[in-house]
Amino acid sequence: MMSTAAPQADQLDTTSSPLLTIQGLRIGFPSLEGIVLAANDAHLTVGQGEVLGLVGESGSGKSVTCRAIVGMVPHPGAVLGGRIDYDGRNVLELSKAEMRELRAREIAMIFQDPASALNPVFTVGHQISEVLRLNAGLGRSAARSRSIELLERVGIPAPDRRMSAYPHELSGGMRQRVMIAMALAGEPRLLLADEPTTALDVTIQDQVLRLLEDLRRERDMSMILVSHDMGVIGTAADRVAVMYAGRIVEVAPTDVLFSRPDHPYTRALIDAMPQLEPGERSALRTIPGQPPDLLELGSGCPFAPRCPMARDECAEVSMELTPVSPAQLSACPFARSET
Amino acid sequence: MRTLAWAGRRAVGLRGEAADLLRQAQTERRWSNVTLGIGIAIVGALAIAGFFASLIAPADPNALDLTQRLLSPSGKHWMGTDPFGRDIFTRTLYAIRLDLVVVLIITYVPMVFGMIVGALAGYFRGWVDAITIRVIDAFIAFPFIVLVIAVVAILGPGLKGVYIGVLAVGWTLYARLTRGDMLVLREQQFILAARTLGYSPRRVILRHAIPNLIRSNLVFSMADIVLNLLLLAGLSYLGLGVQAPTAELGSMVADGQSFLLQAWWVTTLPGVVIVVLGAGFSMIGDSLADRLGQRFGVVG
Amino acid sequence: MSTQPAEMRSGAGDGEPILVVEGLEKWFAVGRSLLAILRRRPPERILAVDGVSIHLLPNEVLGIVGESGSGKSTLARCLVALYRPDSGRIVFDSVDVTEASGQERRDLHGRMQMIYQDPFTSLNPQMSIGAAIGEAGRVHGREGDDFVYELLEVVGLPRSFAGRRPRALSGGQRQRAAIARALAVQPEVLIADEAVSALDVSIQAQILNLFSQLSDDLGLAMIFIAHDLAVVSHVADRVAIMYLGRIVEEGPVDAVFRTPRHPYTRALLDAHPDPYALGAVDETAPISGDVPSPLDIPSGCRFRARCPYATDICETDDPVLEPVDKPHRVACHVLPFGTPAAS
Repeated sequence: MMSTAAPQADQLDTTSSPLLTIQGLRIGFPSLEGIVLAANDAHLTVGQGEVLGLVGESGSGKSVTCRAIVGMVPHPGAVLGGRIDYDGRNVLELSKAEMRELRAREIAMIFQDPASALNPVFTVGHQISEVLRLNAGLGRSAARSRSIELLERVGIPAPDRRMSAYPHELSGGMRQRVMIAMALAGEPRLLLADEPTTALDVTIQDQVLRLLEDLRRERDMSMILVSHDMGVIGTAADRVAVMYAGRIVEVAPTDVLFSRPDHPYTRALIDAMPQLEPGERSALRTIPGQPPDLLELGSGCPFAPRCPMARDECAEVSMELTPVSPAQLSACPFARSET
Repeated sequence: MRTLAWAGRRAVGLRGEAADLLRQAQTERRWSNVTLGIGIAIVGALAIAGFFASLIAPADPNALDLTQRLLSPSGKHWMGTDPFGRDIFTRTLYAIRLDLVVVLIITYVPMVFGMIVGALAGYFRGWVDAITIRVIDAFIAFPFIVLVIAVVAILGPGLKGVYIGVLAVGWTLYARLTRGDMLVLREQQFILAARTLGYSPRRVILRHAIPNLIRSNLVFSMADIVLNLLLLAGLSYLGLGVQAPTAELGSMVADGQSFLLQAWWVTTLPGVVIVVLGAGFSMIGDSLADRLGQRFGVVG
Repeated sequence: MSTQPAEMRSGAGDGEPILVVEGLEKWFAVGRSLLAILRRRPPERILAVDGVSIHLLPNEVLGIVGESGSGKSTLARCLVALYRPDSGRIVFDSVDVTEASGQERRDLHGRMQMIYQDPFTSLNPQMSIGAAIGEAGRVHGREGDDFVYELLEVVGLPRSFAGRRPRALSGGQRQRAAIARALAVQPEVLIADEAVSALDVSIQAQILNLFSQLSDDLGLAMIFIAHDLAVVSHVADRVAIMYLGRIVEEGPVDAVFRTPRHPYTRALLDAHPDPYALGAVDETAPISGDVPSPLDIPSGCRFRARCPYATDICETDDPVLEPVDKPHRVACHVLPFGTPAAS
């Protein structure tokens, strides 16, 4: 392991060359009672060609963290601290024009709801061609033929005819494919996928996840896959970061995370997941209590009030990610000694 | 737990950008509070003055004294006297009382009626809705004021004509607003739940739907009040509304208009009261819309 | 019946069905364009539920699985009288609900209660939790306030929550309150329509456990509708798989999920994201294409366009739900995965 001024980031770096490094990211939203920290000292790395799964429950800060990478923290939130290094540059210091350039050529994003992410009054072809003409500087006919190629690549049947379809004429799965085609238009090196299959049916979700996996291999593209669904994360990600109350509590390769989870929160999440095991009607293990009020968080571990292994020290524990095993980092210093 | 929470809030710290962020949100909120406060103060002060007119007023509103015509404002006559020698301050107080009462009636009676009609149409849909929406469209197709004037012309000038005219037409906008909200609301799961719990339509509409429809109607009524205030004053100004000698702000404006150059106060001062009252209602309406609007978003 | 021991559950085949649905159809008219009206085209109809027959035994949990457009929610809404079925019979406790009139019909439907998907909109925001539960009970003739507190306890909420508005509750707590409100009517059948799909995993587990507990402790029969196979496999005794308004496979949860006979069921199981299938080679190709539009239902078998095993007969003949093994029924001509005798 290398030793530099930022030990945490380097420990997180289990891949050869991180494309993206997030360090100490803090994102705040003002409310009447004070600042809500949606991301609180979050650390992440994404390697070249890697799919990083970012999993957490609602309000854990996973989406906001993802959006901060492309400078799109929703109003009225703001990044309050930390840095996000993409390919050697801190994107938080980019000007608006540079950020647009980055979004056009380097980092693309797809969202949960493809129905509202496409403009209903323009045809699919128009919207993809527009991206190509603006971002890749293609002419009208070049943009059209490239659009058809892209639609074909994302698995849309009869793409030349679909060019003139309006978004409402397409099914949810088809719309998500169109969104992916648009995201690919700028040949991005990093794709941010925020709950890309949550609104889709299971069989369609499977198709879209397979498509994303193929595209990633084909283009050596990196990806951050944000999801609340442990199943989706488990099947599609190479490495998983588990987020709770704005903090990353555990990072590990997918197989390690599911076979030897360390942090009590990760363990609880996995235990609470119903398994496809008909006949097993044993009660699911649950996590007592509710996710914390982000306003009321003090120092120490935010999971402590719900944690079965909690002890007095948890109120002061630093949430630093420390290695448990090669490539596995956890923010809980106590869990590993108890198993 | 309490101390931990407090520590947490402090730990977040109100420094630099975070403080700016918070301050900005608080400023927006505070500004809305200030607007609401000023609005309530204006309307409240005028309403109190109007309702205690008989106690406050220095004179009889209708006492003629032709020797005291068109006196300019002075210690005795704070707002001067009109062409008939009546004390304008006294008449303004009585006029505020009359105008407020009439305006509240011609705003809220149609609101309640329109809300019920709209709720029924939106809830039952089908032919109930088809008929209602045709009737509403027919009313809305005519300019509101022309329609009211027509009714007044048929019934003859006077408050009765104003009441009937405005009530006949004013409900349509509320009915349309409520119907639209109801169409959305009836698909909300708590309305579906109320139906599956075996509640009667009456209970579903009155107990469950209407309380969730009131907010948007109230917000709309705050704009409507201002329009109705101007409508009442306008009709009276034209001689179609409140009849002489009863004091009404619009007719008082009309009383002085031929003496505008010699005695500006006769027309101007009641006119200013109309503007101030209207502005007060607008301020209340705007800040209420800010608050209720957000909350309504949860439902609609 | 509430004393039935939990071990009896898996053998919940005893007794007369409490609910029988036969050949239920529900269609919706599609909005017509002016031109279509002028040309006197017949109105287009979407058959949301196309001839569904199910039965539910006392104290049994029937899972209904399907993707969007399968008609599973429409079916549920017909059962609780939010929709009036266009054809078919709903027999509840030996009485044909569709033929019952006025008050009797309302009473019968009242014995079936629904839990909705979204706990954020299924409670009236203007009403406290206690008032909502109390109203439901009192409309159905219960008196006093005691039952409100009892029900809060049953669903695992503290008594102090009676005075709270839904806004002050989290998603899981709201779902508990909604369940308490449904129980206030003292239903015999609980219909849960995607009742846990809007909840976070940790909360979902709590509510699933609550449903299991209610079926065990109160002896409630339950229809549990969900798109998530794992969730259904966890609570259901029996399961029906729906596709485009039809049931394509039905049987004990164990048989259907372990030895699926219909290619669609198999596809659903294959598509289910399971992190523990990690190393396992995915030998099956995913089924292609989308669910066809309900306006344009294929001839013959509705699944044939996406089915890798489709043959000529699938194009012409509509398969019927037939038993392959005693309680296990499948609507498929091909049965590509063999019959139980073969396996």
